[in-house]
Amino acid sequence: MVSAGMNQVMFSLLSLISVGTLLLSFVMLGSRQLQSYIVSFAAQAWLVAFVSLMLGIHFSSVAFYSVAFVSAILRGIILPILFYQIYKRAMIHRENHVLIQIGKGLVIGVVLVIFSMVISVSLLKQMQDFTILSTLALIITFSIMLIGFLMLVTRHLALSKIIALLMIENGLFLGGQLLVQSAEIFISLIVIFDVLIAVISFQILAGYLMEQVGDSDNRLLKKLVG
Amino acid sequence: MAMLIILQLMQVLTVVLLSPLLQGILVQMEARLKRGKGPGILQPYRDLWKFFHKQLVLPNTASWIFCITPIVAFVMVMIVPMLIPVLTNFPLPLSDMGDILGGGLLLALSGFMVLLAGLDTGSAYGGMGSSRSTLLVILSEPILILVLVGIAVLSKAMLPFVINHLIASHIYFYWAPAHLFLVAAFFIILLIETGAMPIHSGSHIEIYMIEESRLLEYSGPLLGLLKWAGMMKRFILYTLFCNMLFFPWWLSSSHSIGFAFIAMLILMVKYTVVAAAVVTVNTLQARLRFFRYQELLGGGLILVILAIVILQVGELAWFPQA
Repeated sequence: MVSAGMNQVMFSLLSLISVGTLLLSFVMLGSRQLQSYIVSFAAQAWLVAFVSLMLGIHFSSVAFYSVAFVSAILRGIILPILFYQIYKRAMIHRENHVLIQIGKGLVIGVVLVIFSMVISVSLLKQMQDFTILSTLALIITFSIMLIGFLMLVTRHLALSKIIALLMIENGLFLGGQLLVQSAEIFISLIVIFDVLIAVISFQILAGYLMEQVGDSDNRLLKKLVG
Repeated sequence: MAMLIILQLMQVLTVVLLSPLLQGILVQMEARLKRGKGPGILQPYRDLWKFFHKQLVLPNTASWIFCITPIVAFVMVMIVPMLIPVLTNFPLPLSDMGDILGGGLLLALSGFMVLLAGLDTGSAYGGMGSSRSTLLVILSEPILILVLVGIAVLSKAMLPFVINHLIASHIYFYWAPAHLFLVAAFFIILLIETGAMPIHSGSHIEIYMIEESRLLEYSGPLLGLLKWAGMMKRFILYTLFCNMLFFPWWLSSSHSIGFAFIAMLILMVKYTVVAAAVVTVNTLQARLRFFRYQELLGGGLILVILAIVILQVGELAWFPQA
């Protein structure tokens, strides 16, 4: 387990950062502005990179350092820049039609956090693996995933959908690092580059969509155009 | 014992006498930030002096509730500083009358009386203000209660002095994520309850008024008392925020009046820092639309729930082996 032999400060910082990651996904859930999605996604990516960095310091392993570096550069800088390009090209900078109103969505998010807390605690009880950090990591991973799914359901614009998808990936990455002792550097790097490819191809797709329909709202795709 | 009673009196007098100063500092800082000149930090004292030397005019429709409300509000708010650590970090005589919930109850009673008084005269503005502030209370009270629950779970105590001790003496508690989230959530409560920007606006324009419209029918000394009670409520909330959560250090720990005076000076410095944060929010934020209150308050609720979840995780993880 990661938390074995970890000093108190490191442990507090790690839990603070992981809860901060969860908080940032709530920021996305509670906002309608696309710009704040981009900013909080970038901040979340930096926090996840910081977790890798701290694990690198703890294990003094070069692999974690390089994962931290690559994920900070790719997810913290390059992806937000790509998102910002899509954002600038689009006509609409705000989610005007959300399926569930913001306040209700936030409360549902809280319910999801509690739900994932119940799930993870019972799961870890069966696995006999019960440290604070592992519990917290599992809860946060589950909650970020569920909140990401909630955002996928309630938001319509293409940019918010892809950011929600990548938020889920952020959560999984964070949980994977904290739960599995030796996060294979190879797998991490492959995942990171996969995401990059996905975003680039998505950018092309969104460009086509905007050219054809003039908007990236996916509700328009329900109409048949002859 | 006599010394303790003197210290307790000093606590109450600090709240009563320094609360207008805090108001003055807030107004002056905000004016300076907006490049104005400001009325000076002593203006609230001059205002109170003016109110208490004016004639008292009562509306024809007013009943006895209207007359006793300012006194009840003032006295209720005056009792609270006995229960909380204002100057000293050790309990003083009668400070075990009630815990934080008791203090919250007193503040709520004073708010309730003002609400009734707003409805009492039957004026349009009073009713409007009362209904608006009731809605706000309905939305914000769950957060306040949950903050208190969070503090209780964190420190296993409801007495403000115990909480102050615990957080001040364990640096680990102070930097725990749960505690930081509670601080953030309490700051939102502070903004809402003390009439700061995202919800309230200071201007007396009727469509914005929430708190002010309940006081419109009052005049003279009664208005002065109500305004003073409002300032004291702000001072008490700042005290709870600083001495229990945000900065629990540097209170007087010895039974001497000199140290209590030093603690008083430090207190004003602390409050000025908090006031600077509030003024910054006041200046940068636009007022939220009525139907968007829930977004700010939902944010506060999330902070508290996260804090409690983290605390529960800590509990579960510490004790499963047993």
